[in-house]
Amino acid sequence: VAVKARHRRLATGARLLAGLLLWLLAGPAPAESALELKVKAAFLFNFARYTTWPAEKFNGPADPIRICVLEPDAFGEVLEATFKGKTIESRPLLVFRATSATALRGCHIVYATSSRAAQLESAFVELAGASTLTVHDFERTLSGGVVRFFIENSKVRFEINALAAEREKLVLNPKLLGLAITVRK
Amino acid sequence: MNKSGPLNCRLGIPGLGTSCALAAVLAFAASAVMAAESDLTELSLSDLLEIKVVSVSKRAEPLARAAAAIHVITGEELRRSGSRSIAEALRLVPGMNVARRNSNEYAISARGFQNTGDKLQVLIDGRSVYTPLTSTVFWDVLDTDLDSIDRIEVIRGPGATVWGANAVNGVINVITRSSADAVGASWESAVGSEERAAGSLRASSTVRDLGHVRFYAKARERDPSAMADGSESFDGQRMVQGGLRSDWDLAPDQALTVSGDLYSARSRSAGQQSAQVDTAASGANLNSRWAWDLSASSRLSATLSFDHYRRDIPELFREERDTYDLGIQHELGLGELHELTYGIGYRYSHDTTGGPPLAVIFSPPSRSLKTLSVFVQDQIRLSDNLIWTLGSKFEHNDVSGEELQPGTRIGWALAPDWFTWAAVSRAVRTPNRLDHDFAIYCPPPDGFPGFCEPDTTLAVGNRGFDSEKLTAYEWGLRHTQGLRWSADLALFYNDYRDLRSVESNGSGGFSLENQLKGRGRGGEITLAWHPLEGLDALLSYSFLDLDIRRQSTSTDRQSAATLEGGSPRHQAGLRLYYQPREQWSADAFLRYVSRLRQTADPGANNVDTSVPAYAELNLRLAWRPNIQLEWFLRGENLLDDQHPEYGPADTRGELERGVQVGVIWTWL
Repeated sequence: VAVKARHRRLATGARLLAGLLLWLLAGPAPAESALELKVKAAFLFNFARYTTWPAEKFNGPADPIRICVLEPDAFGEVLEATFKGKTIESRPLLVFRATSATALRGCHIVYATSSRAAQLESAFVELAGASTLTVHDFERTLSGGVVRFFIENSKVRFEINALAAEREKLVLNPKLLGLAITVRK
Repeated sequence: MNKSGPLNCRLGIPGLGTSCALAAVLAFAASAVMAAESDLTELSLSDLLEIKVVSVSKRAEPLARAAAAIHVITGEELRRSGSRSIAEALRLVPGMNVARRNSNEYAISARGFQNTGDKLQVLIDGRSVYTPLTSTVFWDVLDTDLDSIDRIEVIRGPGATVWGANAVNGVINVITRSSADAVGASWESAVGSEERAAGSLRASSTVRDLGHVRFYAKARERDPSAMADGSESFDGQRMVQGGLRSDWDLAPDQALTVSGDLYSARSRSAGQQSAQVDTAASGANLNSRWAWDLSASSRLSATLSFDHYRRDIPELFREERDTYDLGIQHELGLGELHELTYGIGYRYSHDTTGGPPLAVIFSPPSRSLKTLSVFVQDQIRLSDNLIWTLGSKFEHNDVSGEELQPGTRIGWALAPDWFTWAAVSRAVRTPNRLDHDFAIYCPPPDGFPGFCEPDTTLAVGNRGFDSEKLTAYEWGLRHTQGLRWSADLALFYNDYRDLRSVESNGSGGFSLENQLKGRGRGGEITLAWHPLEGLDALLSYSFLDLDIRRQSTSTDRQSAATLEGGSPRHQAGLRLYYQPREQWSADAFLRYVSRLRQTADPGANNVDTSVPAYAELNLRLAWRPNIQLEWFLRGENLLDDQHPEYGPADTRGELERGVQVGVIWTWL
């Protein structure tokens, strides 16, 4: 009987241990990774709020602001959840995704992420002249990107390439410029 | 920090009175906690900028895809570890062998050869800092403003294909932050029992529209270590250092960085009581780096640096050295397939050493060494998941002539969360002044009894000494499980030839020759765990088995045993970073180093040169009542009153338990 009880205890222990391992290994990514995406999404919302596009970029006063992502991306449902039911000056916010930058020329904001500069630059070339606020998170300034996210002291910061913004005829609110690092490239 | 907005009272919690700053800090902490759940679009831009999003151990994505045994210490990890020098910071790197001989001197290596310490390439912002005198680093004076370090990248294993000679067992790359990163000033001061007093000041500013500049100045005083019997060892150190870094935007596609440092230190060797024998070391360096983006896929950079140092140990040794270094590099993407990097480098180093009556001399006393090198490397994207790198460095130097150091690496992403790599490379340690020109002067009236007659010179260096050579085979595997777990395994097999031996020439003299060979094998495994927001753990273990043999013609009966016994077989470390709330952090570092069998030649008296295994613990507790102020309390080597790490039992300094308290003020 004692042996049986010990076996049972061992089996219970093993199950608990296996459960713990499963929980550790297969558990969802911690909130913090999602947090970075949420913060970036909130920044995109603010970029939309503090950017003035040329009038011809909209088909009328209620035309939505199109916030787009060049796939592949890590946002998942975060963007949709962030922008759901929100408007900026009575314009709703819409999220689009595509694998080719050319398909995103109608977008107001395009977020692209890659570890390869050439890939990003070629995407930005395809968007050139479309008055798109291009956003990326490459490790250094890219001439085609208007906004660059970077992490400093574990906080999301952003850099604005003023030359690229001028070229795309985007007018950025001083509130935005005041909190960004401004470069010209 | 420069761009953080004004403290925001709007979020203040009612009932906390008029203290806006306090309310803001509390609200800020609360906002970080609630941020995960709440609607962030409700926050102002400046509040968004204050949300902490990454943990200290989060690695840059490209690192998980690096086909080498690479480890990076981030600036945040470095600050939270409370390390007081670059040498101490290297203890944080899994598999790095760091041992302190006394209060100031270190024996540092990777994958063995800790006692010679001559197989590492060490760079600060791309400037090589090992000396061609002995191919080692003067760790006692290798320092910079630690708060300005962006990261320390360490590659265990050969990196000679790009980094060149001496990158045999590892490459250490200290990278400082751009001066544009943070505008403002900060002051840090600390007092303690071992790190007796330390103060540092840094300030950075914009220079019109042209660029940014940062200055720093620091001073420190170290308490002497203790001898085995508990008596004082008198090997304290005082050091002052200052420097600057400036970053200039020359044009939209061109950037220039100019930096420089200046230092002066006085210290004593262990056991020396008289101030007459103070070691004086001083130096200065100036570096410039210019980078030009020719196009999106083409980047040209040039570096020019000058380094001067002087080291004076009364009665023993004196050296003064000037080194000029020029490097030009071009990174070029050729289509989607190839990423080509090639470059050329020229190094000129001139020294003057002191002759008799000093005991450690070099013959000739003055020598110039010139090195010309060319390297080319191609990174070929065989598919999205498979990258093959091959390249070689060709070098011509005055001491060993032509050296070819080829290498090839392959990296394969098996799945999004699995990555494996393998590499075969050749690396050499080129002969230094010690190998070629080292001599001992035997001072009157007695010389060194039983060893040499007074007023004679024993030549030990050998002009025929050749490079030490390594062929290394490496394999590695990485796995990441979301952001919660990551594991990194690296295994190596090193085949060494022509290692240095000390041969007796029959007539009582010695000569340095290449009569040892051997192999090293081992591996390192690192587990990073991020169980919850604010808690990070890093567990590492490394194993090393060195087998060094002498050739049949060799008379050297000690060097092989010292090489084998001078590096630990087992090492383990556990780092914990805990930040329960924004204002508090607690960090711990527990390390274990196995026994060293023989760290030096026991000599005729058969001195005990072994070092017992030890475990030590460092702790750091920090409190940040507001954004501008941090108080910290730090303990080092807490598990023992004192413990030795390296050297013969009768002359080594043992490290004592130390406690330190300090404050950091930041002005934005």
